[in-house]
Amino acid sequence: MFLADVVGTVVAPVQVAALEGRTLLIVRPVSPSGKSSGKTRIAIDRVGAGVGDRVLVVDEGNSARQILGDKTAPIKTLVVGFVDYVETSGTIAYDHRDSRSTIA
Amino acid sequence: MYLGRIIGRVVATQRYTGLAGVPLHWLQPLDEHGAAMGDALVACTVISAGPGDLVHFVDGREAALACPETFVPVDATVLGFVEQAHANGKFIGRTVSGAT
Repeated sequence: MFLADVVGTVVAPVQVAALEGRTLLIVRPVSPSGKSSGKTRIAIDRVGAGVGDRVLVVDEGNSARQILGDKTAPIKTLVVGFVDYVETSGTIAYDHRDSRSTIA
Repeated sequence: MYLGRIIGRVVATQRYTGLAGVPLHWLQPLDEHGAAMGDALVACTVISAGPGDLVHFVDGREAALACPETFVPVDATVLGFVEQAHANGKFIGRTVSGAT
């Protein structure tokens, strides 16, 4: 799992059946301090996250399929959590409550 | 899953039997700005996408699960058309059917 910022949305009306009706978000992996760290992905939302939120993303197929209850779905990237705050070495690296206005 | 744009077709007449009839396309992964992210790759396509289309694709084992035959040697498959994508308040792009 990794931390990511939700930076955008994807509208995909024509796609494989297993993905129909699922919310797709563009997520950018970040370090605890907020630096970009890795390739931007598209993830299925399971927690009601939106643009500007910092989230927990799982990018592993077996976990994703277990969560969705579909053993054959070609799905691996899911938003599975909403980050309230991150603490590293005793200091708060990120706090959702004061982040809302700072994310581009 | 990643955002990408189909930039070409790949024709391979002789290939693994489980992949017969599955179109192959040349695909450029994109980042949240719509810019190229990493190298282009060859992906299977399970929707009727073609060059110019903005799509999303999956890599790894899940790529094979999306194919008609699910035990095939595939590591990237295009899953759907992206009608619109927005990031950081900006419009990234949309599917342009029939473009080069």
